[in-house]
Order: sequence, then structure tokens, then C-alpha cells
Amino acid sequence: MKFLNVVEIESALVALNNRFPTLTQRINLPNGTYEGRQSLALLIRGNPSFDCRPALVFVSGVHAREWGGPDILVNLATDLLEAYTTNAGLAYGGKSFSADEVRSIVNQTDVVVFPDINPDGRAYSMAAAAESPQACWRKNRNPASSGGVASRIGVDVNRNYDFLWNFPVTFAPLLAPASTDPSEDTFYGTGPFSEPESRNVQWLVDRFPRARYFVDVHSCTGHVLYPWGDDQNQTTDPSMSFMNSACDGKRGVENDAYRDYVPPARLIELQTAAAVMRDGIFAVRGQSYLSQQGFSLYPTSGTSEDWAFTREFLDPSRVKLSGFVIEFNKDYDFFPTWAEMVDLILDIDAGLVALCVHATPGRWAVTLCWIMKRFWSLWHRVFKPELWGPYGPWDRMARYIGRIGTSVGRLIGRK
Amino acid sequence: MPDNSDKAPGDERDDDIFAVRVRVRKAQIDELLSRGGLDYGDHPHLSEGPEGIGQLGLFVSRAQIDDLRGDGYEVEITSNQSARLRERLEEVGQGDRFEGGRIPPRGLGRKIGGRGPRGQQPPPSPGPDDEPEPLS
Repeated sequence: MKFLNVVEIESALVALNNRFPTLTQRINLPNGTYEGRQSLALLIRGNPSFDCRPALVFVSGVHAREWGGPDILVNLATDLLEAYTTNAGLAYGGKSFSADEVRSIVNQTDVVVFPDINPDGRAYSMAAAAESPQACWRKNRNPASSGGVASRIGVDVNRNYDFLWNFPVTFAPLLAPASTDPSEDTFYGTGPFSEPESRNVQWLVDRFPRARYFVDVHSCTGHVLYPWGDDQNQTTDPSMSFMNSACDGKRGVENDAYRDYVPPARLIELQTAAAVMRDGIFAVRGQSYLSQQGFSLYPTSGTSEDWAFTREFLDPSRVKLSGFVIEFNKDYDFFPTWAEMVDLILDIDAGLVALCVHATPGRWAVTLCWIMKRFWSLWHRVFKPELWGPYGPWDRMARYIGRIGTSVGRLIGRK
Repeated sequence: MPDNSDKAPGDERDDDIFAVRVRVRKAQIDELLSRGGLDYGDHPHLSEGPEGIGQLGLFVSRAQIDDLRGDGYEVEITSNQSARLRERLEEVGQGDRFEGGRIPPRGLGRKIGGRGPRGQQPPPSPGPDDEPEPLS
């Protein structure tokens, strides 16, 4: 085996869809990249009749040089499908999942993998005659802000999401959670979601209104990170939040008065899910990843996991979506050998499958969902909208009786 | 694994990028990162040591290492990332091993206790009103 190249990532997803046509759907992302590539994601959905399934959206490959991310997600999809279709459980080193757990994941959740967000960047990093600057390429290949200078090409897609994107205004002076300079690795683009790669992620998440977990796979520090990335968390003052423009100019400084709000129950949920992934990773071969808040030293703006977490604050009617980053490989090395990468794939896939198990509805939830579905089906059969709706005969009769009552009341009142 | 070599390997090029650990006090980090031009990956991380001094991971050029050292920072080179990529290019797939979708990949996870093929019809079979929404 070897690292997947850009073409192979896409054809691996096509092959999985061809091999498992009733369990998977190909999702063509709508926004082509600057170099004209169309991206692909894969949905694993075993039981379409179960309406209450939560979705887990896994993405990777946003940074060109972080080679192993797409390999991790393609392998995850392959393992789940192979195990499900052979009634098998899954084992990654010392971590195993039963056949029941695999079956529940496939039948009762939507698992969405989008392995290669930034194919142009990956193709550039993997180009056979790689020179040094392109070896550690991080950004996409959009030249719009480059002024024709090769070293100024590209936008950091993970500073381009709509979360406090305009950092010169939203953060404290002199901090650099991203960069306005196209020659920098963290150049934030020309506007939130200015890049097709970040818009594809936004589109994908929007397609799954029941998405509960979003995980962006990066390398290479050995962390599981949860929001917020702009400042330290606090759980007491909802007004001190990313939504409050009165807090502009104050964010990003450690141990000062400003901290970003997370509802207490949500903070526990974030920490619990991060710990589930961390423990799943550890169980494989004892790799100790740290689960912690994204802001630990220095702020970030415009990142995917923070943007994912903003959605429930901006529209409380939305299903609560928890955003995470996994930074695989503790060795500060973007380019492990393939033999090392195999171990890393097993580590991270164990963490992700553990999260899937964590997200899978329990038996009571499945039963309740089934009962509610039947109840509403029966309700609509008995109380047909055409009879009981606002223009049906019963409603008209009720309004007629109401009018008679009003008239009688007036007559009595006159007397 | 890091090569822990501070010496220029034979194939080092002028603009190679190195993974380094810089010994810093927490109070120095804002100054260091706000000057721009230093690549700390996606989120900066400090492996904390005693007395408030830790090691900050960065990806920098030889010239940047010299600048940091000139400013009094202690810099440990852990690997030449550009050189590692050049070695690693041999481990990138060539062509298309999955032949445009004809050959499926094989998972690396061990399948345990399989009781034979389930087939592809998930129980229970969906009704006509349960079709998944089309995804374009």
C-alpha cells in the first residue's frame, strides 16, 4: 500500500459506491476548485427508513501537506462497509467494536466522509518534482490575491470559514489568528467562504440537518480539539460571545476579561465526545493524545470546527452540531512513512468509530422514534388535513358555530 | 520519527522547511507568533515544561532558524520536512489503483467474528416513502 493520490481518493469512493450501492450514496460537491477539480464525498446510510438517525460528518485533506488525512477517512468508510456486509466486528490493535455496534452505526446513523477538501493543494504537494516551497504547501491554489507572484498563491481554507473571519476587527490588536498577507500560510482569503473548498464543506453540512458531530482531521500534534479557538471558554455570561460585536477588539488574549460563551451542558458534551475519541485512539496502541479546547496558547479565527459550533447559536432551531479537530501524529511530522501511517490510520479510525458508537441512538431512542413515526402516520390518516385542516369541513363548521355563538351573544347583550 | 539532527543532511536545499521546537516562556509566545511569518501548523501547541518554560513546535526555514537563534531563542531541529517529503514521494500511489472505481479498496481494520456475507439489503427494507433524498 501507498499514500492515496488525488485521483485514487475519488476513485476509491466511486469503487465503494459501486461495491455497496444500497448502503452508500455518492455526493458530488457543487463547487469546482480553481484547477477545475470536482470533489466527492460518500454517505453511508444502511437503513433509510430510520428517520431519527444523527449524521456524523468527517472531513480531511484541507491542508495539502497533511497527507494522511484522506487515507484515514477512505479506510474508515471501507472498514465500516466491509464489516457490516460480513456481519463482522472491527478491531484496530487493542480496540475492538462488536458486530452489533457496527450494524447499529450503519443502520442508525448517517456517516459522511469528505476525504479531500483541497485536491489542488494535495496534487501540488505530491507533484513528483516537488521543490521545497511546495513540499510543505498548506493552502489551496487560488491565485486571485497573488498579483502574479507564485509564493503568494493560495488561501488557507481553514481560516476562511465564517467564524470571526474579519480578525483585524474582531480580535485584540496585534494578534494574528490568521493573516491578511497572501504570502503567509494562514492567509484568510477575500471574505468568509470566499473559497470553493470551504463552501463545499458548508454545503455538505447543510445537506445533513441532523448532523450532530463534525470532525476535521489534521496533522500533526496529537490532539483532539473542541471549540472555541478564539479565546478561553466560559459558561456563565451568554452576552460575552462571538455574536456580540461589542466584544470586538477584545478577543484572543489569554487570562483577560473576555472569554467566549459555551452553555454548560454543551461544554460537557464537547468534552465527553472529545474524550471518547481520545480514549478510542489510546486503546489501539497506547498513543496519548490530549483532548482540550482549541484555544490553548494563541487564538485562531475562521476555522471549520468553530464555524460548525456557531450554527446552533445563530439559529437555535438547528440540531446541535459539535465541531472537533483531530491532529494525528504526535511527532510533528507531516510525512510519516507509509508503515508509520498504517499505525496512524488504525489509531484515528478507532477514535472515529468510537465517536460513531457514542453518537448511535440507543434502543429506547430507536423505539421511541418508531412509535412516533407510526403515531403521526396514524394521526394523519384519522385526522386527514383535508378534513381537519384550516379549510376542511370540521374547521368550517367550528367557525360557523363560533359565528352563531357570537351573534347569539350580541342578541343577548342587546336585550 | 524525528531525525533529531541539527546538521545539514547531504540533500538539504536552501529553502527546505524544518520542524523545530523552540524553547520559550509562555509570555514570549504572543510576541513570537504575532510577528508573522512563523508557521505553527493549524493550532500552536506548547509542550509545557518546568518553570513556565515549554517547547513550541514550528515549521521554519534555515534562515528563520538563524533569526530565532539570533534573537536568543533555543531552537532544536527535529526533522527536515522537505527532505522527508522528497523521500516519501516514492510512497505515493501512481496512476489509479482502483481503476476509476472498478476495484474497491480494502480496509486495514481487522474484521472479527464475521458470520458470512450479510448481502447489501439492510433490514428492514425501506418502503417507497422512505427513499433517501437524492444527492447530486
